[in-house]
Amino acid sequence: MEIQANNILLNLRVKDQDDLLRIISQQAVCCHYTVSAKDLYISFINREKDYSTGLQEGFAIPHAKSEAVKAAGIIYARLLSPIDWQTYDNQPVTDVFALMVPKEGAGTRHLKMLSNLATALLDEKFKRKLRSLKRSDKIAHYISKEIGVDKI
Amino acid sequence: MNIVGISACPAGLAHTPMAAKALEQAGKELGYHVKMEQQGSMGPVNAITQEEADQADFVLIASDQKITNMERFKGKKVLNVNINVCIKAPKAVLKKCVSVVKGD
Repeated sequence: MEIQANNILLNLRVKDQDDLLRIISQQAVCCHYTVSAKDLYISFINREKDYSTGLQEGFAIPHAKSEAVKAAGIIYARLLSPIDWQTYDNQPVTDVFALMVPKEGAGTRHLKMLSNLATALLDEKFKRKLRSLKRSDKIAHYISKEIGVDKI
Repeated sequence: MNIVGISACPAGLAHTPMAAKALEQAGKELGYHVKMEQQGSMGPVNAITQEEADQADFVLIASDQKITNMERFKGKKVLNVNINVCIKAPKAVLKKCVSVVKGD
């Protein structure tokens, strides 16, 4: 699993959560994480129905673990204006990490990276630094470095 | 206080490790020993041994999912807490659990 500039969507203009998850699903086709944007979108929505993946301070982590996903991956979207999302602090969302894993055989290394990303979002320093970066290649590099499997 | 627990969520990807880490960090700050086993997509991570289970003051289950291997905790007080509350307010969760166990 690599995180490159095309895993990062900056200054995204979306009208709501639904719109965003559709755009992320399209981007996932470009990143070869899925062949069906529609099926991936449905997986995100279904997980969201279990309970919201909104966190706090503007972050959310929608995820899909389904047959629609062909390879594990992450897409980060930074929104131009906040959207409504059910979150712990009742604040709208501006920063979204979409996590995707195949239903079976994701591989421990990839799962560990996703786990590292999730726990990094508990860390104020990570969030602050992430938001301070403005270029997609720098952001991709920073995320890769922070969640690399060598760093436990 | 010696606390052991298990976190688990529907996909086992993100909330499971987040809750575990949040509770362990909160434990450090409050001066409690907290060890959380993650029952997520990687299988058991940071598994709790029978010895650790025996020594625990109580067991915290951060999940609404089916938890495996609960027989380790036979005879122990088990408290169930919503996994999202554990991520959102881990210190408050630990304090509340401790006060329940102490019977305050």
